Amino acid sequence: MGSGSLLWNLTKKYLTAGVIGLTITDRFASIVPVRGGSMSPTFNPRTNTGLGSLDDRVLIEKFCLAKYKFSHGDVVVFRSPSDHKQKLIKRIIGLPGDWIGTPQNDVIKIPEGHCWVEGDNPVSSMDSRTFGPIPLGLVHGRATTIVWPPQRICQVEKRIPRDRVSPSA
Amino acid sequence: MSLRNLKELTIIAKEAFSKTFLVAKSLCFLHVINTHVFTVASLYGPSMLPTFNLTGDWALAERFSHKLGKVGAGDIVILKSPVEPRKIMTKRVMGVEGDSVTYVVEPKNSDRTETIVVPKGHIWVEGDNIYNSKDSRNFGAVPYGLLRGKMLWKFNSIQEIMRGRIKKTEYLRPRRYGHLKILDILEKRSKTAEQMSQGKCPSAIFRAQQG
Repeated sequence: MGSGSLLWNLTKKYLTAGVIGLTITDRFASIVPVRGGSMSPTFNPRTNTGLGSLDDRVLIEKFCLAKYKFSHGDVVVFRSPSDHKQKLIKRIIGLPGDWIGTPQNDVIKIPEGHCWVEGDNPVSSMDSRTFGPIPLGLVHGRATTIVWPPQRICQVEKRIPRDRVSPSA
Repeated sequence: MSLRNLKELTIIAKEAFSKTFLVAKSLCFLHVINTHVFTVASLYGPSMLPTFNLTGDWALAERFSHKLGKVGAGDIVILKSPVEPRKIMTKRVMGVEGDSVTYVVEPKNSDRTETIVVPKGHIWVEGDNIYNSKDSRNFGAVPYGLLRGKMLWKFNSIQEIMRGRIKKTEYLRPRRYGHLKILDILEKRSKTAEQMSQGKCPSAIFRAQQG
């Protein structure tokens, strides 16, 4: 009798903690590890694929999802348009209405409700250069701070590459 | 005297904290149910017309089968609009990745059809009322990641469920709430029966409506 109620109490506590944690990660902020070297100078400057513990952990804030207002140079997490189970982290280069040059030497206008994302490492990155502009609805949050490892704690700064985008008139 | 005041204050503070925590806990619980298990949506607009009315329809949607990848052709889904990220819309899935979909390009003006293959990781969605619907025919196939849920059950209004009784007018027309796939089958059957009794073939009716 006694042990049963103890077990029930424990379950209730874990369930409450889980529900609160899930709400916070859904609505406010979460921490995600960054894998791979596609954002190389900003995250994971040395690509040591063997040791997963040296991956950077990044704080993602979700308040930007209330209005979907982003600016050039923000680093965002989004679901891959070709595989919904995969999440990618890239930098926004172009917003709706901008004209942007594609690797096929075209200049295209980014459609309404879409954005153009690219990795900081131009050599190895799966981004809008392969799959084109992505809908803003796929974005799940904005990276603000590197929180782990301790020697790399710093803000994620905005960087706007020159001569890539010509803003809408 | 001051000590007693302090004691009273601590008791009040404790009480207030426990009450706030209870409220926060229940709000969190509601959020988790609403975003991960079930949600109730009120629907408006002409794009799903025979299935959902212009206004006043409510539906229960579940939020887990799209995460498991179990959305197929024929399901009615909730998804974020690719054109306006803050808007949520309801459409019917016509094809998943790899399917080839044939659609009428301009149903108001011509019968011209086009066939495309849905790319990897995308779905093709259309409204049931193809004459007045903004869907994949306008903005192309949408990424699967935009899905937010699948419609499960529809009811005509919240009040009707609350009152729980049948209004007199509803003896005349069939009650339209229930599981969506079953509703579709019933609709199809009654339509074909009607056409058979009138001695018309379905394509003739289609043309008459267009003209």
